[in-house]
Amino acid sequence: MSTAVPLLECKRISVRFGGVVAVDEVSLEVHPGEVLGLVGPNGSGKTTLLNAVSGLVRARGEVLVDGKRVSLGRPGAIVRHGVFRTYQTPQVDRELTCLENVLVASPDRAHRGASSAFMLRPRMWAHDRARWQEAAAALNRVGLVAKANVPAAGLSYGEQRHLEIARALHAQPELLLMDEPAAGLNSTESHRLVGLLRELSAEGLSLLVIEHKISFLEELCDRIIVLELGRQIAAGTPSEVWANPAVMAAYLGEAK
Amino acid sequence: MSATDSSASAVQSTVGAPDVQSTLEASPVGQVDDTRVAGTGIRPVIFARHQFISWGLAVVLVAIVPLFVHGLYGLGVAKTAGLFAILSLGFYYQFALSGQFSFATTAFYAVGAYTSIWASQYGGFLVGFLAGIVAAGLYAAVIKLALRRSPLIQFGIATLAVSALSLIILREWESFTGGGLGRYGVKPVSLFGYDLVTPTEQFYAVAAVALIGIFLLILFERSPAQRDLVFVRDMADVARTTGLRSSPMLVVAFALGGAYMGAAGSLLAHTAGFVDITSFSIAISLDVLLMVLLGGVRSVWGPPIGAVVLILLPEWLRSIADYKDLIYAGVILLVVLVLPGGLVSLPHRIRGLRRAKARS
Amino acid sequence: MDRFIALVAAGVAQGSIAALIALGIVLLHKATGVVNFAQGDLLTLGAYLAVFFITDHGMNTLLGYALTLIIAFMVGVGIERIGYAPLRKQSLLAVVISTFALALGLRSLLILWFGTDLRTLPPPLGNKVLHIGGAAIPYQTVLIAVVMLVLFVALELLLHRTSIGRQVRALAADRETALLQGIRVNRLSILMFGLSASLAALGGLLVVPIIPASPELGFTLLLASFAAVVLGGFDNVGGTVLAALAVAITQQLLTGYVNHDYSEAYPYIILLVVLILRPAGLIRQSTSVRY
Repeated sequence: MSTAVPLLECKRISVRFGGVVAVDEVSLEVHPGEVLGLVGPNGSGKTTLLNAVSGLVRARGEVLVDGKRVSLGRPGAIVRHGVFRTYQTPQVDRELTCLENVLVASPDRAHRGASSAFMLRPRMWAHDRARWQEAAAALNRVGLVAKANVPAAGLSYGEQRHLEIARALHAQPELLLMDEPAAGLNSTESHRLVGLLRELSAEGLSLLVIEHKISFLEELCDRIIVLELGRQIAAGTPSEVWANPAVMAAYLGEAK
Repeated sequence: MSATDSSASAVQSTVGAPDVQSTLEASPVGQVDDTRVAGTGIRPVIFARHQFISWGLAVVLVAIVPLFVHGLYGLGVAKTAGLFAILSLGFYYQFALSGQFSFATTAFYAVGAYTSIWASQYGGFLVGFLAGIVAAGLYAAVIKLALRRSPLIQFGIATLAVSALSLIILREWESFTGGGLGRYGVKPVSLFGYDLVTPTEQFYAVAAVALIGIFLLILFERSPAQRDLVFVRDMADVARTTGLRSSPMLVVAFALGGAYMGAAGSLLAHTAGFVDITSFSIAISLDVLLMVLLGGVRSVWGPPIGAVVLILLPEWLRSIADYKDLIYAGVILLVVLVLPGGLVSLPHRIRGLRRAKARS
Repeated sequence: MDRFIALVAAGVAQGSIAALIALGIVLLHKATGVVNFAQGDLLTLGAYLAVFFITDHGMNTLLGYALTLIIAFMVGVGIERIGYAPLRKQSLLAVVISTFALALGLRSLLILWFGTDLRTLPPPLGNKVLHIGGAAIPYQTVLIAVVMLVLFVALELLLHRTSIGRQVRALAADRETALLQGIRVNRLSILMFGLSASLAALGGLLVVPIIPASPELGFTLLLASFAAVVLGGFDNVGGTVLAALAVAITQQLLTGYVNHDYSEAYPYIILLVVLILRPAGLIRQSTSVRY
C-alpha cells in the first residue's frame, strides 16, 4: 500500500524553548493509509513535535505533505494540505453547540462571512444547509448527533473528546494528528474509539497518534516511533518496539 | 428573506445557557442514530429563536416613545440613549463577539462625526453619513491591522493611547475640526430632501439607525459568521488549525464595530448641529464598556438595554446625579460578581433560581 | 545647555513618578498576573490624602506621609478583597474590568470628598533649587528621583533576597507549579495589592507639590506608566524603570525642542510605535504553547 511519496514527511524537526531542547532532530514519515503511533515517556517531546508539525510552535527542519513543503510556525499552514489535529485537552468552545463546534471546521468556505450574512443570504443558506448535513453526519459518526444542539459545556469529558474528533472529520482530512485521544476514557469508551479509528483508517484516513495505552496502540497502529528526551530511539511494528530493550529502559527509567 | 429565518420550530433553547447540564442525561457515546440524520432537520439552534419578532416589538416600542416623552429635553435624552445604543452595538462586535478589549470607541465616534461634517458640505447628509461610517470603519481596520499581534491587555492599552492621541490630533487639526471653536451650522439629518429638525424627528432618525443596527446584528447572529467568530475569539490558534483565518476575521469584526460608532458620530453631529472637541472624551469609551457589560454580552439586546438603562439612570435619580459614577462602578462590580450575563440574563437566572427552589 | 539640563531634569522627575506607578503595576502583575487599572487613581488618592493631612489639618509632614501610605495600603487590600479574590476563578478580563470599576468608584469618591478644585502641597524641602550646569533644578525633583531610585533598589532586594520575593518570582515564572509548591497565594496577593497601592500613593504625595492634585491626575500619569510597562516588559522591573525615564525625558526634549502643541501626545506615539513593531512589548517573554 505504500507509494513512493509519503503523505507526511518530517525532516530533522527541532524545537527549543530558551535553553531547553524539546525536540532534537526528529524525522518521521507517515504513508497514505497508515496508522503511525508516537510514544515515549513524559517529557519526551511528543506533543511538542505535534505542535511543531501543526505550526503552533517555532521549529527548525522541514515538513512536507505529499511532497510539498509546508511553512513551519504558522498554525493555518498545514491545514491547506488536509492535515488536521486533536489536542491533549479537548479544545472545544463551551459556548457553541456541538453542531456549531463541528461546523467551524467546514471545508466549504463560501459565503460564510459578514458580507454574505448581510447581503447574500440566499447563497449563505444554500451553502449552510449542505454544511449542516455534513456536520450532522460527522456527529453521527462519533455518536453525538443526539446532542447536536447542546452547548459543549454540557458534555462530559469523553463526549468532548469525541466532539473534537467529529470536528476533525468534518474537515475531510487526509491525515489526522491525534494527541492522546484515549486519555480520560474508560476501557469501554477506549475500545469503541479504537473501533471508530480502525473504521476510518480502513476508509483511507491516515493517522498519527500519540498515546500511552499499549492495548490501544497494538490494536490500531501499523508502526510505532518511540521518543525519549526529544530524540527518536526506536521505530518499527508494535511488537518489535515493545521488545526493544532501549524502549524498556526509557519507560523503566521514567518509573524510577 | 428565506422561510428558514422566520419559521417556527418546536425547539427553543438559549445558546450558552449555563443551566443546561442539569437537564441532560448522560448518553452513551457511540450510539449511531441513522433516523435522525437522514433527511435531517438538524440545524443550528439559533435559527429556532424568534429574534425578528422581538425586533418587531422593539420597533413598535420605539415608535410610541414620543407619546410618553415630550419636549426638547426629554426627547434629547431619548436621542442620546439611541446614540449610545449604536455605540454599544458597535462595541458588541468588538468586545462581546470577538473579545477585543478596546477603548478606541471615542476615537471612532469623533472620526465619524468630523468626517461626516466635512463630507456633507459637498454632498448633503447621506454622503456625510456614509463617509463617516466608512472613515471610522477604515480607521478601525488600520488600527487593528497595525496591532493585530498584540495580546489582549497590550491591545487594550494601545487603544487607550489611540483614543487619547486621536483626540489630541483632532483638536490640533483645526482646518478639519474647527479646533477649539468647533464646527457650527452642521447640516441637519435629511432624507430625500426633507430635513429632520424637530426633537421628535431627530429621535426617530437616531432610533431608526439603532434598530437597523440591531437588525444587522441579528442577521450576523443567524449566520456562520458568528459561530466562526466566537470560536476565533475563544481559541484563535486552535481555530487556525481547523482552517479558519483568525486575523482577518478579527479585523473585520473590529472594523464593523468602528463603522457603527462612526454612524453614531455622524448622527451626533447632524442632530446637534454643532460639535466641538469637548463632545468627545475617554469617558465615553468607558461608559460604552459599562453599558455592554451591564446589558449583557451574550445577546444582541444587551447593548441597547444597557445603553438605555445607563442613560436614563441619572435622569430618574436626578437627586443623586453626583453619585452617578459611583453608582456605575457599583453596578459594574455587581454585574461582574453576581450577574456575568448582564441584565439580559436576568430572566433566565431567575427562572433557574425558581427551578432550584421548586426542587428543594 | 542649561535648557537641555532643565528638560532632562523635568523628564527625570516625571519619569520617576511614572516609574513608581509602573513598579506597582509590575510587582502586582508578577505576583498575580493582574493589571490593576486603579493604579492611577491610587496615586490621586495619595496626593489628596497628603493635602488633606498636611495642608488641611496641619499635620507634621512625615506623619502625614506615613498615614497616607498606610491608608493607601489598606485601600489596596480592599481592592484585592472586592475585585480580585472573588473573581479568581473567572477570567483575567473579569478581574481587569472589576479593577476598572473600582478605579471609577475611587475617583468618584475622591470627587465627592474633595471636589474638583486643584489642591496643592508646599514642597517638603522648601522652594530651594539646585544649580546644575546653569539650570535651576527644584529640590523636589531631586527628591523624587532619589526616592524612586531607593525604592527601585529596595524592590530589587525584596524580589531577590527575601523569601517573599522568591515566592513572587516563582508565581511569575510558573503559576501552576508555584501553587503546587504550597505558596500562600492569598496572603501574597493581599500584600502585593497593598504594596503596589502604597507605591502609587507615594508617587502621588511626591508629585503634588509640582503638579496640583485633580481627579484626573492619576489617570493621565497611568497612561505614561502603561507605556513604560509595555516597553520595559511586564515582568521586568529594571527595564520598566528605564523605559519610564526614557519616555518622559524624550517627551520633555521633544516638547522643548520640536513641537509644543503635541506635548501630551509623545508618550502615546512612542507606545504605539513600539507596540506596532513589537506587539507584545519590547522584552520578549518566552512562552511555550500549552495544549
